[in-house]
Amino acid sequence: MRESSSKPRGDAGATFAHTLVALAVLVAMSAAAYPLAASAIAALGKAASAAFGASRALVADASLRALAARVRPPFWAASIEPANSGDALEAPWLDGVWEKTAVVSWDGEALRIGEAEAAFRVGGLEHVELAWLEDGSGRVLGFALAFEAGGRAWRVEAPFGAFPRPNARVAW
Amino acid sequence: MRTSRRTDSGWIEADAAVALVIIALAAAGAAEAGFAGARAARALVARADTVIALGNDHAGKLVEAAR
Repeated sequence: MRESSSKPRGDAGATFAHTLVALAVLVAMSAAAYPLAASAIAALGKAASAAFGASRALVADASLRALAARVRPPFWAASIEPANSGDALEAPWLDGVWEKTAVVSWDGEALRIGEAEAAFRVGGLEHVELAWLEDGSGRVLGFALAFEAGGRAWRVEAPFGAFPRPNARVAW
Repeated sequence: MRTSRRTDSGWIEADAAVALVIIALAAAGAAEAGFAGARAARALVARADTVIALGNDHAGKLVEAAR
């Protein structure tokens, strides 16, 4: 049984017209929503890159500070004699032992933080610069690391766990 | 009780409106999810910046004390 319609047109025509109107509305809504969706996707991608960079920066920060804190010269050591062989920083007195060396190196692809034999690798960094943290008079007091990750620059200054005394009588 | 009239082909105005509303809500939800993710990422970057800045400030004080 057919239902009555208040419109003069037949049901089939009304249905087609409704379909066209619905499609037009759908197209209009899609056109309006596209810039919003595109900006949301772009913002999400940029934010994800920044978040990955921040995560890598946090890992590098925690690893470098943990390693630097393990460099503990004894109270009678007058200075730390660091070694800078190219793109690597090497500091003795790791865990209080002269023969053990803390190493921070950059090979162009990954940052290695740890001991000479076993190091932790952090990738995804760019424009890495290694330097010593000094007190202004040339005394080495820690590691300094600058790099870029996630589209922004980061800098980490990690002091040693103990500082040598300049007036100590025994020099190492 | 229905508020809309059904035609012979089965088209219902209310159903079309509901479908459009659902599509609009889905698009708005997806956009909101994207912006929420972006906000969370910015919060992570800000927190990492704060943590590293605190560590550097601490290092600066230690170096200053060692001079």
